[in-house]
Amino acid sequence: MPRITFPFGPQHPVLPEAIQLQLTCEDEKVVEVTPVIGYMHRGIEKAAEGNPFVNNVFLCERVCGICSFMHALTYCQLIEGLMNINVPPRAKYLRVFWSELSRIHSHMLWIGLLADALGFESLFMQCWRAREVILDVLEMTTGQRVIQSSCVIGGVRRNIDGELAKTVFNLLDEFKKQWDAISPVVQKDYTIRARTEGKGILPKEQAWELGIVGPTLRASGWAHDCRLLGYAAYGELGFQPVVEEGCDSYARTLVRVREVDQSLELAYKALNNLPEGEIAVKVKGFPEGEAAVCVEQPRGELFEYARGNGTPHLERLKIRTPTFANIPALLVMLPGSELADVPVITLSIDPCIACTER
Amino acid sequence: MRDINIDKTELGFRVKELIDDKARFITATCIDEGEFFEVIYHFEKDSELVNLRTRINKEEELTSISSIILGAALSENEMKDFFGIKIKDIAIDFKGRMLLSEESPVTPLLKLK
Amino acid sequence: MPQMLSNIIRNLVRGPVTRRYPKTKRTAFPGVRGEIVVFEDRCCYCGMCSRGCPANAISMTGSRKNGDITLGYNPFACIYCGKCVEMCPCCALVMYEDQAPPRYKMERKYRENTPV
Repeated sequence: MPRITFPFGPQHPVLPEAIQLQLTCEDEKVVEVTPVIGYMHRGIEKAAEGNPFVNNVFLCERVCGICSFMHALTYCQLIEGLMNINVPPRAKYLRVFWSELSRIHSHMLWIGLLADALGFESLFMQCWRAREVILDVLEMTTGQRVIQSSCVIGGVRRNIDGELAKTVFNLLDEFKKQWDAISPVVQKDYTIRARTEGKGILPKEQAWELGIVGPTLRASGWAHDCRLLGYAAYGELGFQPVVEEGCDSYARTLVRVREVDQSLELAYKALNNLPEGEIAVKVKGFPEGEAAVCVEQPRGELFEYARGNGTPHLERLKIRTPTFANIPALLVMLPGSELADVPVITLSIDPCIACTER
Repeated sequence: MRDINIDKTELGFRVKELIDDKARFITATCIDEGEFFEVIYHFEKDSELVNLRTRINKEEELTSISSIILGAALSENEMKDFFGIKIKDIAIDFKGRMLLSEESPVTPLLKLK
Repeated sequence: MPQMLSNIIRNLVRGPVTRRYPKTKRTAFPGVRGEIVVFEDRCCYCGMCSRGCPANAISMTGSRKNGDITLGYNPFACIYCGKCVEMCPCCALVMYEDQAPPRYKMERKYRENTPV
């Protein structure tokens, strides 16, 4: 059988960002995949070396537009670890609240994109409409919709008190109402099941060996979640990771659907148990030594490593984003699949290319 | 965070040992230290971070660990892009042009002398 | 599709949820970070804002000694984090809740430290 190699991407309707997969096909079956990245490298690691460490929060936030709060949170935790800063408990709970909202809006965006890739336009519209409520909550409480800039070293910048909390609860209730109408559709719809069940299998053992993270790993039956490490207030709030045993695209969809419910619950819990007190502490001195931090992002584990040398500038800042770790999964999922399933399988790892290339 | 300092020749062996112990590869970091490169391979084992540290001369060559863990290929290519570190036998070798394009500057993260 | 049906019918009856933009505008929430305006007559030229700005969008040119000191603010480099507004001791920088109108022309090159 003759083989044909052709490019999938960098511009493709299902890919919001630019990544190329060079697919080698035999008839309609994919036999080999080579990912080509490098279309949107911005040199953030280099820029971080030139900036004073306090300003890097805003730079790190711009690594990704969807999970910007988590990027800022990771960087802040990293520097707090280097400088032994104790963050006040109220700030920790607020951080959990905003990270969970970021997770919800990221997952809603992904479910919408999945529906769009399948051609299920009305579900796509409904998902993004519900997501708008969460974005409103973020805008109301932090000051901006996408790049929140509310997390700084030593705490947070905004407080949620009395009146505002009431409005937030009302909006969250409204989101819950809209979400309860959508979630059974995503879980049970015939079209979605037909297009995702048994497609893009990532076997359990292989997932661990490749270093896959996040919902992709949890859908292969591993209860691995960085929130179990208990950073911010997760240790006190208590939670169990969502695990599915299916190993296919459908299992990855289910993990994300159930995580939206879980995140909503955590957001309610964090806001209900908000302790009194300060929201930020003053930062004095410069970072020195080495630190590494793992934070659970919507797409998986975000790893950051920094080395400080006692000056305002960091010597090295390394950011390993979840999609960077998840791209090798495509090398296992795609070979053997039908060409028509490639877009949905590629989407099932929730690729965020701007993150990957920093 | 647990650190293990190793020589570059025993890298493959140590990585194999960790992988057999059910460790998960996270990423690899390279740091420019003037005469040397410090290469750190980060692993997660039982919810703990394990760092394999090795120091090599700038001219020396490192053997890739991507034959043991396929996931390390991207991290190694990234180090090659940013630092010009010599790594041989990477499973998918982009020849220092994975994230950087043909026209972009070479080895941008090296410290200026 | 059957699960979606009730949702679709409800949407059919209810009418659009989107705004007809130029006619009805969205009101900003209180405390949203929007356009930054510089009132130079209130400025005491302490330089706190230009030192604290993470995007180098604010610059001080000239010197206080010669009396030709000016504050330059470049809205194209600005990331609207609001740090300068928090730091300013004399309220010379004010942040409004409405977003800055869209602009299409850049007067100077990005990060050229000249006032716009």
